[in-house]
Amino acid sequence: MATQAQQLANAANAQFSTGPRTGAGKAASSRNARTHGLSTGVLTVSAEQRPEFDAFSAALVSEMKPAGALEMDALLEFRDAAWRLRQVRAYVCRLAAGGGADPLTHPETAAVMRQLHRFRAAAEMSLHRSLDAFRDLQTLRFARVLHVAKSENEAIGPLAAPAAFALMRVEGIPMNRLLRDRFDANHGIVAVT
Amino acid sequence: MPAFSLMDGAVCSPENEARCNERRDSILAAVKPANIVEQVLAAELFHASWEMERVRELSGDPAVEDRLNAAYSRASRNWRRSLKQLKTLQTARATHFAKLYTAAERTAGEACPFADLAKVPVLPGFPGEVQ
Repeated sequence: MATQAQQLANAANAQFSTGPRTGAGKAASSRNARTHGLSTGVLTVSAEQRPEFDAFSAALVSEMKPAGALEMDALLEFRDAAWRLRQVRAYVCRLAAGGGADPLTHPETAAVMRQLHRFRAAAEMSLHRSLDAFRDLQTLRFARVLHVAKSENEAIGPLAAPAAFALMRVEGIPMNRLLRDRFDANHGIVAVT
Repeated sequence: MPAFSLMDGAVCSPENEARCNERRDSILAAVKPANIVEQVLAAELFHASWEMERVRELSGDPAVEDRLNAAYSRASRNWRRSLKQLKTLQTARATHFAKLYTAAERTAGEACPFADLAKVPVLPGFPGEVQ
């Protein structure tokens, strides 16, 4: 049992224990509750994994050929989701390597597996949705190259659906982009509004 | 050889390792991923397939039935989605190969390798008619 003097001294000392003050200290304490470090909003890549992650990023950019911020956003979301799923698998492998039953049935891993299950489901959804978005954006860009005449470049927004402008009527006659380019050249039209 | 592996991370005991590798090779042979995105999806397909297999093997204990059902549903959903994405991507790749004839079209196709031509209206005599 502490004496009254000790209790007073404790209370006085506690005034100095107000938590971390530096940015680094606050950042460190913000991670106190993390169990596996996977459920954070921002993807964290360890220094050890960085070379692999950079190689993966470079391969995606090289093969997906993103143009503009929107395609890049979709690509980065796809990359992060794929990497998160890889991190989850590595974590589950570590659980399995800990011995005992499969982590899917081991009683001690029930709570963490439930958390991982939610985390993984979100990452999978993000993986597929970001790829859908990326494909849609590139489809729109491709359609513009084929179907937007030079004079229409400013008038037709980059997110317009191709069906809206592919077979435009000029003076009542449906014309594809080649015919419209020819029509514009013949009539000296530089830009339409 | 890429500097990273997407197929790693399957939970398998030493006695199941050969079966796990066989499944991975079989899925790769069935899918033949041609680029990094297809590799990501092929890896998802394999991991989902292997997880469903693990669940089937572990099933039978009523105490963990809920956990296994949840794991199976999630893996099965991801398996279907990954397969659908792969079909869409490979169809788009085949359509680029089959439908883009002229240099201008091919250049546009190379700049937008993931464009889905099925969603781009094709007009009579165009594309294919570009001079």
